Amino acid sequence: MKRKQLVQALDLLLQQEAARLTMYHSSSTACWHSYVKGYVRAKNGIYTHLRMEDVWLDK
Amino acid sequence: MKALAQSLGAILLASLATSVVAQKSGGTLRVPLVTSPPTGSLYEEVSVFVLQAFAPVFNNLVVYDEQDEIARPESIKPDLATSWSWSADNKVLTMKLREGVKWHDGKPFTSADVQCTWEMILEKRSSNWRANQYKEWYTNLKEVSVNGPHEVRFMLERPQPSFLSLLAAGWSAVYPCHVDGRVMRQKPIGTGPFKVAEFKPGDAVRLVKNTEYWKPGRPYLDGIVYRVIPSTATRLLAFVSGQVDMTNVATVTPQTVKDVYAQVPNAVCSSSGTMVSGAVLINHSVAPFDNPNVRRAISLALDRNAFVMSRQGEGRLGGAMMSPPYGTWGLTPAQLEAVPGFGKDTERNRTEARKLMEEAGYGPNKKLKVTFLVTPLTTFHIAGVTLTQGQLRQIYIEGEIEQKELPIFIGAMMKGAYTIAYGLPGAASTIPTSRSTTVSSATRFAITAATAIARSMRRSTSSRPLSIP
Repeated sequence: MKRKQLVQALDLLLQQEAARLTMYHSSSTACWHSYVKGYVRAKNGIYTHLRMEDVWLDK
Repeated sequence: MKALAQSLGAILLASLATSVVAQKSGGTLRVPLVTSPPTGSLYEEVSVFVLQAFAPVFNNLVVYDEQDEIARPESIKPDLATSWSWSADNKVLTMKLREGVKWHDGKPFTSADVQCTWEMILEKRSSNWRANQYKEWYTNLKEVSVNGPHEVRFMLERPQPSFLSLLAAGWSAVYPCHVDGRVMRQKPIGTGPFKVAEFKPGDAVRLVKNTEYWKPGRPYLDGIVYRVIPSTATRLLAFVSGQVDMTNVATVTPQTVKDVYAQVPNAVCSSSGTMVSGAVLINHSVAPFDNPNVRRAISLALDRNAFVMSRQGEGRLGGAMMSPPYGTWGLTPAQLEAVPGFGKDTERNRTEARKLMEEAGYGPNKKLKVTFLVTPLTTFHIAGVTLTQGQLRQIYIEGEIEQKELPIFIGAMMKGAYTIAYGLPGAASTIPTSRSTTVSSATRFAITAATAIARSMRRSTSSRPLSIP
């Protein structure tokens, strides 16, 4: 909890000092055909779960 | 009771039968890319589309379990490292490496490759890279040593609970020591499940199955084709007409997903937090943006809620860290309410902003001239920069929008050759340490502050994994 408080205090400082102005955080919708199996899309980022070694096609 | 047991047994058998329906091997997965990867060298690039097309070529030392839909420390599993342990003072990470692994060119993978990769990142060894994008992640890494061909040690300056999470991130591939940077940009060599068959910038990346992959039975696919389709409408059409197997980011919205289901009733659609934020980037190393009151005026003038609306249901208020519900470190809208520019009283904010600008010497007869730099990757980039331009005009800041290709845009960010820019920077991990990357911070102040975050994190002596639900 202590670490989260530290991070949030610094985040608040960044916003108050207007150093890097965040307008919003985005989410993203993606779709795939039902025959694409074994693909799990990460819920907390788009920079992981990209190796595709477990993906197979049920065709 | 007996009937219930029989029913449960039947369900269990049915479930087993389903799972026994063997995964089928073969076929080529077709995936659209929003923009072309400039190169295939992960450590030189920042675009998610580079990672999408080339992550299957590589392995990490450790990796987030890709069958767990949350990338979290608890789901980190072995990859090229088979096991790891921390020293008693939490400053030395020792990893045992997988034996018998080969690079795609047939050379053996050893500890020298691991040492080489992180020494290139630390710039202790020549890499022939044109850029070193992830150096900021490893400012706490002092040295990497080897103990025989199958053991490495990462020596840290201070304990860093998040270090393993950085190694598990998508951008933490192990590079081959014997392959030149030029080759890694054009046709990278990895140990991963797929090999690069062809990379035609602007057109497509074709991967083929690595038949000598170290993981038994993987991969299932014969190959993957990533085709560059810049138009959102064309990507969507390609999906509903069956020309590609998946959409990509910036293609389907909460509004258009209904159309997708109408045309492809069996489509599987999922919404995720992206770790990408819309951001107005101010170069505060040049006047007048070195004046905190000018920056405050800009912040007051920008109506965050209008930007959120522009995302058509895929935006939410947040600060630097990934905001709830997808992230746990980020500030909530309630915490941000008192920060200039986050409140809903836009007119009052802009009145205060104009006063600050007038104090700084600007007014109706003396406008502050700027350029609004953007890379037009998606409609969201254009919408964001247009909103920025329009809203800042109300506080005497005027200028043209200048569109640049992504590599030029990033180059301008790195060199500080801009005044105001609009971008969608991302972070490669939810952990605060990863926010210190240059591209996710984009301004020197932010780098300093983000590094302060990282240092605060590292000071913790706890080796308990961070919880990221």
